[in-house]
Amino acid sequence: MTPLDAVRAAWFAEVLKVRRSTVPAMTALAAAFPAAIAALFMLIAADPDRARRLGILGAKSSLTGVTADWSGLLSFLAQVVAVGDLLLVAFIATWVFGREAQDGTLRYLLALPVPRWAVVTAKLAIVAVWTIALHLWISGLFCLVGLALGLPGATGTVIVGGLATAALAAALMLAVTAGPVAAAASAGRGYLPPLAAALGALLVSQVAAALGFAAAVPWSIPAVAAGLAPGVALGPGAVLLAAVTACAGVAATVTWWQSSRAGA
Amino acid sequence: MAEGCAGEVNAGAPAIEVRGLTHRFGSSTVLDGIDLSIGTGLVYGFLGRNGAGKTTLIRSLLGLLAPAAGEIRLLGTPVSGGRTPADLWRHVGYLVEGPGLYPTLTVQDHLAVAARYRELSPAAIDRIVDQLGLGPFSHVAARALSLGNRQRLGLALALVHRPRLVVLDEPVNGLDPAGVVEVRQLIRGLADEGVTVFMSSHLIAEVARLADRVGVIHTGRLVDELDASQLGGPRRLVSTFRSADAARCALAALRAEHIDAALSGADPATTVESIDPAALGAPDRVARIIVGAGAPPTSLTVEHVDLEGLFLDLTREVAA
Repeated sequence: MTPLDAVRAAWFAEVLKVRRSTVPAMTALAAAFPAAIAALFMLIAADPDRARRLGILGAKSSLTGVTADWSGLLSFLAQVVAVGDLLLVAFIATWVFGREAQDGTLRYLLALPVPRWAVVTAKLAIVAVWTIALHLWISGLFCLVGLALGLPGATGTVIVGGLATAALAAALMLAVTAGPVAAAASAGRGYLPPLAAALGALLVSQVAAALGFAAAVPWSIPAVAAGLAPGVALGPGAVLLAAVTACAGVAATVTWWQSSRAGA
Repeated sequence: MAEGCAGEVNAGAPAIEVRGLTHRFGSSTVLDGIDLSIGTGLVYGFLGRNGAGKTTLIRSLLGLLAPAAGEIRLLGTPVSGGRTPADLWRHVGYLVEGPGLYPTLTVQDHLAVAARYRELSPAAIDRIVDQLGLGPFSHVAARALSLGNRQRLGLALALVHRPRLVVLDEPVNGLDPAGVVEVRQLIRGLADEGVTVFMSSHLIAEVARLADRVGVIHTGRLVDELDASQLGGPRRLVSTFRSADAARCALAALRAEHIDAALSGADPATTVESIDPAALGAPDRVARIIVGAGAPPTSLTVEHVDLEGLFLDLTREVAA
Protein backbone atom coordinates (compact mmCIF):
# COMPACT_ATOMS: atom_id res chain seq x y z
CA MET A 1 0.00 0.00 0.00
CA THR A 2 1.44 3.37 -0.96
CA PRO A 3 1.37 6.24 1.55
CA LEU A 4 -1.31 7.93 -0.56
CA ASP A 5 -3.43 4.77 -0.52
CA ALA A 6 -3.01 4.64 3.26
CA VAL A 7 -4.26 8.21 3.62
CA ARG A 8 -7.15 7.44 1.26
CA ALA A 9 -8.14 4.40 3.32
CA ALA A 10 -8.05 6.46 6.52
CA TRP A 11 -9.99 9.26 4.82
CA PHE A 12 -12.66 6.76 3.73
CA ALA A 13 -13.00 5.60 7.34
CA GLU A 14 -13.21 9.13 8.73
CA VAL A 15 -15.77 10.25 6.16
CA LEU A 16 -17.90 7.23 6.93
CA LYS A 17 -17.80 7.97 10.66
CA VAL A 18 -18.92 11.54 10.00
CA ARG A 19 -21.62 10.53 7.52
CA ARG A 20 -23.15 8.03 9.90
CA SER A 21 -23.21 10.45 12.82
CA THR A 22 -25.74 13.08 13.81
CA VAL A 23 -22.98 15.26 15.25
CA PRO A 24 -22.32 17.18 11.99
CA ALA A 25 -26.01 18.08 11.79
CA MET A 26 -25.87 19.22 15.41
CA THR A 27 -22.87 21.43 14.72
CA ALA A 28 -24.66 22.89 11.68
CA LEU A 29 -27.65 23.63 13.86
CA ALA A 30 -25.47 25.23 16.52
CA ALA A 31 -23.68 27.26 13.84
CA ALA A 32 -27.05 28.59 12.64
CA PHE A 33 -27.78 30.12 16.03
CA PRO A 34 -25.45 33.15 15.55
CA ALA A 35 -27.21 33.91 12.25
CA ALA A 36 -30.52 34.06 14.09
CA ILE A 37 -28.97 36.37 16.67
CA ALA A 38 -27.55 38.49 13.86
CA ALA A 39 -30.99 38.77 12.29
CA LEU A 40 -32.44 39.86 15.62
CA PHE A 41 -29.71 42.46 16.15
CA MET A 42 -30.14 43.84 12.64
CA LEU A 43 -33.90 44.16 13.19
CA ILE A 44 -33.35 46.00 16.45
CA ALA A 45 -30.60 48.25 15.09
CA ALA A 46 -32.67 49.11 12.01
CA ASP A 47 -35.58 50.42 14.08
CA PRO A 48 -35.02 50.49 17.87
CA ASP A 49 -38.46 52.04 18.53
CA ARG A 50 -40.22 49.23 16.69
CA ALA A 51 -38.14 46.73 18.66
CA ARG A 52 -39.21 48.37 21.93
CA ARG A 53 -42.85 48.27 20.85
CA LEU A 54 -42.52 44.58 19.98
CA GLY A 55 -40.93 43.92 23.34
CA ILE A 56 -37.65 42.55 21.98
CA LEU A 57 -35.69 45.46 23.39
CA GLY A 58 -36.04 46.89 26.88
CA ALA A 59 -37.55 50.39 27.17
CA LYS A 60 -34.29 52.01 28.25
CA SER A 61 -31.96 49.68 26.39
CA SER A 62 -30.05 50.23 23.20
CA LEU A 63 -27.65 48.28 21.02
CA THR A 64 -24.32 50.00 20.77
CA GLY A 65 -21.81 49.33 18.05
CA VAL A 66 -24.27 47.56 15.80
CA THR A 67 -25.32 49.12 12.53
CA ALA A 68 -28.11 47.70 10.46
CA ASP A 69 -26.21 47.35 7.22
CA TRP A 70 -24.02 44.81 5.43
CA SER A 71 -20.90 46.18 7.03
CA GLY A 72 -22.39 45.74 10.51
CA LEU A 73 -23.71 42.29 9.67
CA LEU A 74 -20.38 40.99 8.36
CA SER A 75 -18.52 42.63 11.21
CA PHE A 76 -20.75 40.63 13.54
CA LEU A 77 -19.91 37.49 11.51
CA ALA A 78 -16.20 38.16 12.01
CA GLN A 79 -16.77 38.56 15.76
CA VAL A 80 -18.67 35.30 15.95
CA VAL A 81 -15.97 33.46 14.01
CA ALA A 82 -13.08 35.01 15.92
CA VAL A 83 -14.47 33.82 19.24
CA GLY A 84 -16.97 31.04 18.53
CA ASP A 85 -14.79 29.11 16.12
CA LEU A 86 -12.40 28.29 18.95
CA LEU A 87 -15.14 26.26 20.59
CA LEU A 88 -16.41 24.92 17.28
CA VAL A 89 -13.01 23.69 16.06
CA ALA A 90 -12.22 22.33 19.53
CA PHE A 91 -15.50 20.43 19.59
CA ILE A 92 -14.90 18.91 16.15
CA ALA A 93 -11.28 17.97 16.82
CA THR A 94 -12.26 16.51 20.18
CA TRP A 95 -14.92 14.37 18.56
CA VAL A 96 -12.66 13.22 15.74
CA PHE A 97 -9.67 12.36 17.94
CA GLY A 98 -11.04 11.88 21.44
CA ARG A 99 -13.78 9.42 20.56
CA GLU A 100 -11.29 6.74 19.56
CA ALA A 101 -10.17 6.28 23.14
CA GLN A 102 -13.68 6.81 24.47
CA ASP A 103 -15.21 4.16 22.17
CA GLY A 104 -12.38 1.68 22.71
CA THR A 105 -11.39 1.78 19.05
CA LEU A 106 -7.96 3.34 19.54
CA ARG A 107 -6.26 0.03 20.29
CA TYR A 108 -7.46 -1.29 16.94
CA LEU A 109 -6.45 1.85 15.03
CA LEU A 110 -2.91 1.56 16.38
CA ALA A 111 -2.49 -1.95 15.00
CA LEU A 112 -3.47 -1.41 11.39
CA PRO A 113 -1.22 -2.13 8.44
CA VAL A 114 -1.01 1.57 7.59
CA PRO A 115 1.35 4.20 8.96
CA ARG A 116 -0.17 5.95 11.93
CA TRP A 117 0.62 9.36 10.48
CA ALA A 118 -1.77 8.49 7.65
CA VAL A 119 -4.60 8.12 10.17
CA VAL A 120 -3.66 11.44 11.80
CA THR A 121 -3.51 13.15 8.40
CA ALA A 122 -6.99 11.92 7.50
CA LYS A 123 -8.35 12.99 10.88
CA LEU A 124 -6.86 16.48 10.63
CA ALA A 125 -8.18 16.74 7.07
CA ILE A 126 -11.68 15.84 8.19
CA VAL A 127 -11.47 18.47 10.95
CA ALA A 128 -10.44 21.04 8.36
CA VAL A 129 -13.10 20.08 5.81
CA TRP A 130 -15.81 19.98 8.48
CA THR A 131 -14.78 23.41 9.82
CA ILE A 132 -14.62 24.93 6.35
CA ALA A 133 -18.04 23.50 5.48
CA LEU A 134 -19.50 24.99 8.66
CA HIS A 135 -17.85 28.31 7.92
CA LEU A 136 -19.39 28.36 4.44
CA TRP A 137 -22.73 27.40 5.98
CA ILE A 138 -22.69 30.14 8.59
CA SER A 139 -21.41 32.73 6.09
CA GLY A 140 -24.19 31.74 3.73
CA LEU A 141 -26.76 32.12 6.50
CA PHE A 142 -25.47 35.58 7.34
CA CYS A 143 -25.77 36.56 3.68
CA LEU A 144 -29.32 35.22 3.64
CA VAL A 145 -30.10 37.36 6.69
CA GLY A 146 -28.72 40.41 4.89
CA LEU A 147 -30.74 39.67 1.77
CA ALA A 148 -33.93 38.82 3.66
CA LEU A 149 -33.80 42.01 5.70
CA GLY A 150 -32.81 44.08 2.67
CA LEU A 151 -29.89 45.65 4.51
CA PRO A 152 -28.32 48.69 2.89
CA GLY A 153 -24.70 48.98 1.82
CA ALA A 154 -24.52 45.80 -0.25
CA THR A 155 -21.50 46.81 -2.27
CA GLY A 156 -19.05 44.28 -3.64
CA THR A 157 -16.23 45.76 -1.60
CA VAL A 158 -18.14 45.53 1.66
CA ILE A 159 -19.43 42.03 1.09
CA VAL A 160 -16.23 40.52 -0.33
CA GLY A 161 -14.10 42.36 2.24
CA GLY A 162 -16.34 41.31 5.13
CA LEU A 163 -16.48 37.68 4.06
CA ALA A 164 -12.73 37.64 3.44
CA THR A 165 -12.03 38.99 6.92
CA ALA A 166 -14.26 36.36 8.49
CA ALA A 167 -12.65 33.66 6.36
CA LEU A 168 -9.19 34.79 7.43
CA ALA A 169 -10.22 34.71 11.09
CA ALA A 170 -11.74 31.25 10.60
CA ALA A 171 -8.62 29.94 8.86
CA LEU A 172 -6.38 31.28 11.61
CA MET A 173 -8.60 29.78 14.32
CA LEU A 174 -8.61 26.43 12.55
CA ALA A 175 -4.83 26.54 12.33
CA VAL A 176 -4.12 27.46 15.94
CA THR A 177 -6.79 25.22 17.45
CA ALA A 178 -7.05 21.95 15.50
CA GLY A 179 -3.54 20.64 16.15
CA PRO A 180 -3.27 21.49 19.85
CA VAL A 181 -6.78 20.18 20.58
CA ALA A 182 -6.06 17.01 18.60
CA ALA A 183 -2.92 16.50 20.65
CA ALA A 184 -4.82 17.08 23.91
CA ALA A 185 -7.60 14.71 22.85
CA SER A 186 -5.11 12.02 21.83
CA ALA A 187 -2.89 12.26 24.89
CA GLY A 188 -5.86 12.85 27.18
CA ARG A 189 -7.68 9.84 25.70
CA GLY A 190 -11.12 11.34 25.78
CA TYR A 191 -13.31 14.37 25.57
CA LEU A 192 -12.71 16.33 28.75
CA PRO A 193 -8.98 17.19 28.52
CA PRO A 194 -9.22 18.85 25.07
CA LEU A 195 -12.42 20.69 25.92
CA ALA A 196 -10.87 21.94 29.15
CA ALA A 197 -7.81 23.05 27.20
CA ALA A 198 -10.03 24.90 24.71
CA LEU A 199 -11.91 26.68 27.47
CA GLY A 200 -8.58 27.64 29.02
CA ALA A 201 -7.37 28.97 25.66
CA LEU A 202 -10.58 30.97 25.27
CA LEU A 203 -10.13 32.50 28.70
CA VAL A 204 -6.47 33.35 28.11
CA SER A 205 -7.25 34.85 24.71
CA GLN A 206 -9.98 37.07 26.16
CA VAL A 207 -7.74 38.30 28.95
CA ALA A 208 -4.87 38.89 26.51
CA ALA A 209 -7.15 40.86 24.19
CA ALA A 210 -8.44 42.96 27.09
CA LEU A 211 -4.88 43.74 28.16
CA GLY A 212 -3.76 44.68 24.65
CA PHE A 213 -1.65 41.57 24.06
CA ALA A 214 -3.96 39.92 21.55
CA ALA A 215 -1.20 39.46 19.00
CA ALA A 216 0.90 37.57 21.53
CA VAL A 217 -1.61 34.79 22.24
CA PRO A 218 -2.33 32.33 19.41
CA TRP A 219 -6.05 32.04 20.10
CA SER A 220 -6.68 35.80 20.07
CA ILE A 221 -4.85 36.30 16.77
CA PRO A 222 -8.06 35.55 14.82
CA ALA A 223 -9.70 38.40 16.72
CA VAL A 224 -6.85 40.65 15.62
CA ALA A 225 -7.42 39.53 12.05
CA ALA A 226 -11.12 40.32 12.45
CA GLY A 227 -10.29 43.84 13.65
CA LEU A 228 -11.67 43.22 17.11
CA ALA A 229 -8.53 44.27 18.99
CA PRO A 230 -8.35 48.08 18.81
CA GLY A 231 -4.86 49.34 18.13
CA VAL A 232 -3.43 45.90 17.39
CA ALA A 233 -2.65 45.00 13.80
CA LEU A 234 -2.09 41.57 12.29
CA GLY A 235 1.66 41.69 11.74
CA PRO A 236 4.14 39.07 10.58
CA GLY A 237 4.93 38.20 14.18
CA ALA A 238 1.35 37.20 14.89
CA VAL A 239 1.13 35.20 11.67
CA LEU A 240 4.40 33.46 12.54
CA LEU A 241 3.10 32.69 16.04
CA ALA A 242 -0.07 31.19 14.56
CA ALA A 243 1.98 29.09 12.14
CA VAL A 244 4.28 27.87 14.89
CA THR A 245 1.30 26.98 17.11
CA ALA A 246 -0.34 25.07 14.27
CA CYS A 247 2.85 23.17 13.44
CA ALA A 248 3.54 22.41 17.10
CA GLY A 249 0.02 21.05 17.58
CA VAL A 250 0.22 18.84 14.51
CA ALA A 251 3.72 17.67 15.44
CA ALA A 252 2.60 16.83 18.99
CA THR A 253 -0.37 14.87 17.65
CA VAL A 254 1.69 12.90 15.14
CA THR A 255 4.39 12.24 17.75
CA TRP A 256 1.83 10.90 20.20
CA TRP A 257 0.28 8.60 17.62
CA GLN A 258 3.65 7.41 16.37
CA SER A 259 4.85 6.50 19.84
CA SER A 260 1.62 5.53 21.56
CA ARG A 261 0.94 2.03 22.76
CA ALA A 262 -2.68 2.86 23.62
CA GLY A 263 -2.78 0.84 26.77
CA ALA A 264 -0.15 2.41 29.00
CA MET B 1 -6.14 -6.91 -4.47
CA ALA B 2 -4.26 -8.80 -1.81
CA GLU B 3 -6.36 -11.10 0.29
CA GLY B 4 -4.77 -12.15 3.55
CA CYS B 5 -1.10 -12.93 3.90
CA ALA B 6 0.50 -10.66 1.34
CA GLY B 7 4.23 -11.15 1.83
CA GLU B 8 5.85 -13.27 4.45
CA VAL B 9 7.01 -12.29 7.90
CA ASN B 10 9.79 -14.71 8.88
CA ALA B 11 7.85 -17.79 7.89
CA GLY B 12 9.99 -20.21 9.91
CA ALA B 13 9.86 -18.32 13.21
CA PRO B 14 7.58 -19.26 16.11
CA ALA B 15 4.28 -17.41 15.95
CA ILE B 16 4.85 -15.93 19.40
CA GLU B 17 8.16 -15.70 21.18
CA VAL B 18 8.46 -13.97 24.55
CA ARG B 19 11.65 -13.75 26.59
CA GLY B 20 11.84 -12.44 30.15
CA LEU B 21 8.76 -10.28 29.80
CA THR B 22 8.29 -8.17 32.88
CA HIS B 23 5.72 -5.47 33.40
CA ARG B 24 5.12 -3.26 36.38
CA PHE B 25 2.30 -0.94 37.35
CA GLY B 26 4.00 1.36 39.87
CA SER B 27 5.63 -0.87 42.45
CA SER B 28 3.45 -3.86 41.57
CA THR B 29 4.96 -6.48 39.26
CA VAL B 30 2.18 -7.68 37.01
CA LEU B 31 4.26 -9.86 34.71
CA ASP B 32 7.34 -11.46 36.14
CA GLY B 33 9.86 -12.80 33.63
CA ILE B 34 7.47 -14.60 31.29
CA ASP B 35 9.06 -16.91 28.72
CA LEU B 36 6.84 -18.29 26.02
CA SER B 37 7.34 -19.89 22.65
CA ILE B 38 4.34 -20.88 20.56
CA GLY B 39 4.78 -22.67 17.28
CA THR B 40 2.66 -22.12 14.22
CA GLY B 41 -0.69 -23.78 13.65
CA LEU B 42 -1.46 -24.32 17.32
CA VAL B 43 -4.36 -23.25 19.47
CA TYR B 44 -2.73 -22.03 22.65
CA GLY B 45 -5.11 -21.67 25.56
CA PHE B 46 -4.16 -19.20 28.23
CA LEU B 47 -5.69 -19.50 31.67
CA GLY B 48 -5.40 -17.40 34.77
CA ARG B 49 -7.47 -16.03 37.59
CA ASN B 50 -8.70 -12.45 37.53
CA GLY B 51 -5.71 -10.13 37.94
CA ALA B 52 -3.22 -12.90 37.13
CA GLY B 53 -1.77 -10.88 34.25
CA LYS B 54 -3.58 -12.39 31.25
CA THR B 55 -4.77 -9.15 29.71
CA THR B 56 -1.50 -7.38 30.49
CA LEU B 57 0.37 -10.12 28.65
CA ILE B 58 -1.98 -9.90 25.69
CA ARG B 59 -1.71 -6.13 25.55
CA SER B 60 2.06 -6.41 25.73
CA LEU B 61 2.07 -8.97 22.92
CA LEU B 62 0.23 -6.52 20.71
CA GLY B 63 2.50 -3.62 21.56
CA LEU B 64 -0.24 -1.82 23.45
CA LEU B 65 1.84 -1.77 26.64
CA ALA B 66 5.53 -1.07 27.03
CA PRO B 67 7.16 -3.82 29.11
CA ALA B 68 9.65 -2.92 31.83
CA ALA B 69 11.92 -5.65 30.48
CA GLY B 70 11.94 -8.47 28.01
CA GLU B 71 11.50 -9.08 24.35
CA ILE B 72 8.46 -9.98 22.25
CA ARG B 73 8.43 -11.27 18.70
CA LEU B 74 5.33 -12.01 16.69
CA LEU B 75 5.94 -14.08 13.57
CA GLY B 76 9.63 -13.31 14.07
CA THR B 77 9.13 -9.54 14.09
CA PRO B 78 9.99 -7.55 17.24
CA VAL B 79 6.96 -5.81 18.70
CA SER B 80 7.73 -2.36 19.95
CA GLY B 81 4.72 -0.05 20.12
CA GLY B 82 4.73 2.59 17.42
CA ARG B 83 8.01 1.27 16.03
CA THR B 84 6.46 -2.08 15.13
CA PRO B 85 6.47 -2.42 11.33
CA ALA B 86 2.93 -1.63 10.22
CA ASP B 87 3.08 -4.53 7.77
CA LEU B 88 3.10 -7.01 10.68
CA TRP B 89 -0.56 -6.18 11.35
CA ARG B 90 -1.44 -7.65 7.95
CA HIS B 91 -0.68 -11.03 9.48
CA VAL B 92 -2.10 -10.55 12.96
CA GLY B 93 -5.71 -10.27 14.01
CA TYR B 94 -6.94 -9.65 17.50
CA LEU B 95 -9.90 -9.16 19.73
CA VAL B 96 -8.92 -7.78 23.11
CA GLU B 97 -11.13 -6.51 25.92
CA GLY B 98 -14.19 -6.54 23.70
CA PRO B 99 -14.64 -5.45 20.12
CA GLY B 100 -13.72 -1.84 19.34
CA LEU B 101 -16.73 -0.70 17.36
CA TYR B 102 -18.05 2.66 16.23
CA PRO B 103 -21.59 2.86 17.59
CA THR B 104 -23.15 4.48 14.51
CA LEU B 105 -21.37 2.40 11.89
CA THR B 106 -23.15 -0.67 10.58
CA VAL B 107 -21.70 -4.16 10.32
CA GLN B 108 -21.17 -3.55 6.62
CA ASP B 109 -19.48 -0.19 7.32
CA HIS B 110 -17.03 -1.75 9.77
CA LEU B 111 -16.09 -4.42 7.29
CA ALA B 112 -15.84 -1.88 4.46
CA VAL B 113 -13.38 0.13 6.53
CA ALA B 114 -11.37 -3.01 7.28
CA ALA B 115 -11.40 -3.86 3.57
CA ARG B 116 -9.97 -0.42 2.72
CA TYR B 117 -7.27 -0.54 5.37
CA ARG B 118 -6.29 -4.10 4.51
CA GLU B 119 -6.87 -4.00 0.75
CA LEU B 120 -9.34 -6.87 0.81
CA SER B 121 -11.65 -7.95 -1.95
CA PRO B 122 -15.46 -7.98 -1.56
CA ALA B 123 -15.24 -11.79 -1.61
CA ALA B 124 -13.21 -11.71 1.60
CA ILE B 125 -15.92 -9.66 3.28
CA ASP B 126 -18.69 -11.95 2.02
CA ARG B 127 -16.81 -15.00 3.29
CA ILE B 128 -16.39 -13.72 6.84
CA VAL B 129 -19.98 -12.45 6.94
CA ASP B 130 -21.16 -15.94 6.00
CA GLN B 131 -18.78 -17.67 8.40
CA LEU B 132 -19.99 -15.66 11.36
CA GLY B 133 -23.63 -15.45 10.39
CA LEU B 134 -23.61 -11.67 10.20
CA GLY B 135 -25.61 -11.46 6.97
CA PRO B 136 -28.97 -10.54 8.56
CA PHE B 137 -27.30 -7.75 10.52
CA SER B 138 -25.31 -6.14 7.68
CA HIS B 139 -27.22 -2.88 7.89
CA VAL B 140 -27.58 -2.75 11.67
CA ALA B 141 -25.56 -0.11 13.55
CA ALA B 142 -23.12 -1.51 16.09
CA ARG B 143 -24.94 0.16 18.97
CA ALA B 144 -28.10 -1.78 18.08
CA LEU B 145 -26.38 -5.17 17.99
CA SER B 146 -26.76 -7.68 20.78
CA LEU B 147 -23.70 -8.48 22.90
CA GLY B 148 -23.24 -11.72 21.02
CA ASN B 149 -23.46 -10.08 17.61
CA ARG B 150 -21.05 -7.38 18.68
CA GLN B 151 -18.66 -10.17 19.60
CA ARG B 152 -19.24 -11.82 16.21
CA LEU B 153 -18.43 -8.55 14.48
CA GLY B 154 -15.30 -8.18 16.60
CA LEU B 155 -14.26 -11.68 15.55
CA ALA B 156 -15.04 -10.87 11.92
CA LEU B 157 -12.77 -7.83 12.08
CA ALA B 158 -10.03 -9.91 13.70
CA LEU B 159 -10.25 -12.62 11.06
CA VAL B 160 -11.36 -10.93 7.84
CA HIS B 161 -7.81 -10.55 6.51
CA ARG B 162 -6.98 -14.24 7.13
CA PRO B 163 -4.18 -13.53 9.60
CA ARG B 164 -1.43 -16.02 10.41
CA LEU B 165 -1.70 -15.24 14.10
CA VAL B 166 -4.90 -14.52 15.97
CA VAL B 167 -4.97 -13.27 19.56
CA LEU B 168 -8.36 -13.62 21.18
CA ASP B 169 -9.32 -12.48 24.65
CA GLU B 170 -12.50 -14.24 25.80
CA PRO B 171 -13.64 -15.02 22.23
CA VAL B 172 -16.96 -16.63 23.19
CA ASN B 173 -17.95 -13.90 25.61
CA GLY B 174 -21.64 -13.06 25.19
CA LEU B 175 -22.32 -15.74 22.58
CA ASP B 176 -25.30 -18.06 22.82
CA PRO B 177 -24.64 -21.84 22.92
CA ALA B 178 -24.95 -22.14 19.15
CA GLY B 179 -22.56 -19.23 18.73
CA VAL B 180 -20.07 -20.87 21.07
CA VAL B 181 -20.11 -24.01 18.94
CA GLU B 182 -19.70 -21.96 15.73
CA VAL B 183 -16.74 -20.04 17.14
CA ARG B 184 -15.21 -23.24 18.43
CA GLN B 185 -15.43 -24.75 14.95
CA LEU B 186 -14.07 -21.54 13.46
CA ILE B 187 -11.04 -21.55 15.75
CA ARG B 188 -10.40 -25.22 15.14
CA GLY B 189 -10.70 -24.60 11.41
CA LEU B 190 -8.18 -21.76 11.62
CA ALA B 191 -5.66 -24.01 13.33
CA ASP B 192 -6.25 -26.68 10.71
CA GLU B 193 -5.34 -24.08 8.07
CA GLY B 194 -2.07 -23.39 9.89
CA VAL B 195 -3.17 -20.26 11.74
CA THR B 196 -1.86 -19.87 15.27
CA VAL B 197 -4.54 -18.94 17.77
CA PHE B 198 -3.59 -17.51 21.16
CA MET B 199 -6.75 -17.57 23.23
CA SER B 200 -7.45 -16.53 26.77
CA SER B 201 -10.65 -17.53 28.46
CA HIS B 202 -12.26 -17.97 31.82
CA LEU B 203 -14.08 -20.99 30.42
CA ILE B 204 -11.73 -23.83 31.33
CA ALA B 205 -13.87 -26.42 29.57
CA GLU B 206 -13.73 -24.37 26.37
CA VAL B 207 -9.94 -24.10 26.56
CA ALA B 208 -9.62 -27.81 27.34
CA ARG B 209 -11.78 -28.65 24.35
CA LEU B 210 -9.97 -26.38 21.88
CA ALA B 211 -6.37 -25.92 22.90
CA ASP B 212 -3.42 -27.94 21.68
CA ARG B 213 -1.35 -26.47 24.45
CA VAL B 214 -2.34 -24.67 27.62
CA GLY B 215 -0.43 -22.13 29.69
CA VAL B 216 -1.41 -21.18 33.22
CA ILE B 217 -0.46 -17.76 34.52
CA HIS B 218 -0.67 -16.88 38.18
CA THR B 219 0.49 -13.73 39.96
CA GLY B 220 2.35 -12.66 36.82
CA ARG B 221 4.28 -15.89 36.35
CA LEU B 222 3.73 -18.66 33.83
CA VAL B 223 3.40 -21.49 36.35
CA ASP B 224 2.82 -24.38 33.97
CA GLU B 225 2.34 -25.38 30.38
CA LEU B 226 0.95 -28.67 29.21
CA ASP B 227 -0.01 -30.35 25.98
CA ALA B 228 -3.54 -31.43 25.27
CA SER B 229 -2.21 -35.00 25.07
CA GLN B 230 -1.42 -34.82 28.78
CA LEU B 231 -5.02 -34.10 29.66
CA GLY B 232 -6.99 -37.15 30.71
CA GLY B 233 -3.91 -39.11 31.77
CA PRO B 234 -3.40 -40.39 35.36
CA ARG B 235 -2.33 -37.64 37.71
CA ARG B 236 -2.53 -38.92 41.30
CA LEU B 237 -3.31 -42.17 43.07
CA VAL B 238 -5.23 -41.73 46.30
CA SER B 239 -5.77 -44.53 48.87
CA THR B 240 -8.03 -43.96 51.85
CA PHE B 241 -7.88 -46.06 55.04
CA ARG B 242 -10.07 -46.62 58.10
CA SER B 243 -7.33 -45.54 60.50
CA ALA B 244 -4.14 -43.52 60.61
CA ASP B 245 -2.25 -46.69 61.64
CA ALA B 246 -3.43 -48.47 58.49
CA ALA B 247 -2.39 -45.49 56.38
CA ARG B 248 1.09 -45.43 57.94
CA CYS B 249 1.40 -49.18 57.42
CA ALA B 250 0.46 -48.85 53.73
CA LEU B 251 2.91 -45.95 53.28
CA ALA B 252 5.75 -48.00 54.73
CA ALA B 253 4.90 -50.92 52.45
CA LEU B 254 4.88 -48.71 49.36
CA ARG B 255 8.18 -47.09 50.25
CA ALA B 256 9.67 -50.50 50.81
CA GLU B 257 8.76 -51.22 47.21
CA HIS B 258 10.44 -47.93 46.15
CA ILE B 259 7.17 -46.23 45.36
CA ASP B 260 7.19 -42.58 46.35
CA ALA B 261 4.09 -41.69 48.39
CA ALA B 262 3.02 -39.41 51.24
CA LEU B 263 0.38 -39.12 53.89
CA SER B 264 -2.21 -36.47 53.36
CA GLY B 265 -5.44 -35.22 54.83
CA ALA B 266 -6.32 -34.04 58.28
CA ASP B 267 -4.27 -35.08 61.30
CA PRO B 268 -4.32 -38.00 61.97
CA ALA B 269 -3.91 -38.59 58.25
CA THR B 270 -5.86 -41.50 56.81
CA THR B 271 -4.99 -40.95 53.15
CA VAL B 272 -1.92 -41.90 51.15
CA GLU B 273 -1.22 -40.13 47.89
CA SER B 274 1.28 -40.88 45.18
CA ILE B 275 2.19 -39.20 41.93
CA ASP B 276 5.00 -41.68 41.30
CA PRO B 277 4.72 -42.97 37.72
CA ALA B 278 5.34 -46.46 39.10
CA ALA B 279 2.12 -46.15 41.08
CA LEU B 280 0.14 -44.29 38.43
CA GLY B 281 1.04 -46.87 35.80
CA ALA B 282 0.16 -49.91 37.93
CA PRO B 283 -2.63 -49.23 40.43
CA ASP B 284 -3.35 -52.98 40.70
CA ARG B 285 0.21 -53.50 41.96
CA VAL B 286 -0.26 -50.77 44.54
CA ALA B 287 -3.46 -52.46 45.69
CA ARG B 288 -1.65 -55.78 46.07
CA ILE B 289 1.18 -54.18 48.07
CA ILE B 290 -1.01 -52.42 50.58
CA VAL B 291 -3.45 -55.33 50.95
CA GLY B 292 -0.47 -57.63 51.38
CA ALA B 293 0.82 -55.33 54.13
CA GLY B 294 -2.42 -55.94 56.04
CA ALA B 295 -3.84 -52.49 55.39
CA PRO B 296 -6.76 -52.85 52.98
CA PRO B 297 -7.95 -49.45 51.80
CA THR B 298 -11.54 -48.32 51.94
CA SER B 299 -11.00 -46.77 48.52
CA LEU B 300 -8.27 -46.55 45.93
CA THR B 301 -8.74 -43.97 43.23
CA VAL B 302 -6.69 -42.89 40.25
CA GLU B 303 -7.36 -39.21 39.61
CA HIS B 304 -6.92 -38.09 36.04
CA VAL B 305 -5.54 -34.84 34.74
CA ASP B 306 -8.41 -32.52 34.13
CA LEU B 307 -7.69 -28.95 33.32
CA GLU B 308 -10.02 -27.53 35.92
CA GLY B 309 -8.46 -29.51 38.77
CA LEU B 310 -4.97 -28.78 37.54
CA PHE B 311 -5.70 -25.09 37.18
CA LEU B 312 -7.13 -24.86 40.67
CA ASP B 313 -4.21 -26.83 42.12
CA LEU B 314 -1.62 -24.73 40.33
CA THR B 315 -3.09 -21.41 41.22
CA ARG B 316 -3.77 -22.51 44.82
CA GLU B 317 -0.31 -23.99 45.32
CA VAL B 318 1.46 -20.92 44.04
CA ALA B 319 -0.74 -18.68 46.13
CA ALA B 320 0.08 -20.77 49.20
